[in-house]
Amino acid sequence: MNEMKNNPNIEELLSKLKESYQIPEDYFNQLENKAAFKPETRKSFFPRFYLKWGIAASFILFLGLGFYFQNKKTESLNTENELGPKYTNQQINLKNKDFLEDIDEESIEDYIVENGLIEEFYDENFDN
Amino acid sequence: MREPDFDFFKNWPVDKQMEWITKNYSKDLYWVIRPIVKTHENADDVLQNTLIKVYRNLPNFRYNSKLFSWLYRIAVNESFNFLKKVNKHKNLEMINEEVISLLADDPYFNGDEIMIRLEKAIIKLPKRQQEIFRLKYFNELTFDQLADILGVSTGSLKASYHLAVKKIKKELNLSS
Repeated sequence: MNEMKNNPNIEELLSKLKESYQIPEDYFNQLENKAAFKPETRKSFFPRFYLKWGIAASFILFLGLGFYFQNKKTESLNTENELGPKYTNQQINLKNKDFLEDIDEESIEDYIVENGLIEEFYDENFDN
Repeated sequence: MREPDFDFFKNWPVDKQMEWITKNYSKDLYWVIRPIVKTHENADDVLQNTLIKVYRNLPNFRYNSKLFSWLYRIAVNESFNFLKKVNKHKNLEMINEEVISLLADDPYFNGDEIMIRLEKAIIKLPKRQQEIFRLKYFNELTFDQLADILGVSTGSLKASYHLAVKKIKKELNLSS
């Protein structure tokens, strides 16, 4: 090495550099037997690869469906605000009819008396 | 560098193609990877990653370039990706320092102080010049073979190489 220091030659140094890097004995022969190079191990990398993309695709699908239903809900609320409640006039009439059939005349009178509507009631229904 | 006969090679099943590649190119790929990642342990990891990537992508290889050029690119990319992954949030200079310090601790490296200095000088070269150096010295390729792999003219390779030698000599204070 002293000789090299006194008379340095780049080519010589570079060739020595490769010699400095050592490789375990029989490394390349053993390499072919390593698990990573066996067909069955290599194939096992594929499910992992698909699993990763599968999870990503499911996440995107989940987000997409979320947005879709959110939009649908907003759309339905907007329609309701613009056009009024969901019940049609016919449905409302039917409901009122059921309500009126359930109550009798006495309960109507009670309601009128309790709520101080008696004068209004008489004004409307009887001639003075 | 041995290249397969594509007429036969492309009709082989992937496992047979892989077997051929592992048998014929493992050593060359190892010497592409080792000078970049420095330690044997890292080189072993990266070589395995490289071969797995080759296996996955062999069906997509278009046979319009040399097989080794394609393998070489994968090996270089895998090596740099490995360094980036191991040295997250570090810039290139820090990674280079880290890599050299690893080399000093590698049981499979027996270089002395001059070799470490030489490594430091090589790592300071521009990327292209480093690449030429590594291929020339570690893979023992001629300029014509280098031109084939890197897809550049022999003349420009020679020019880059001589420029690199000059810089290394200057860095190490070597006489011309």
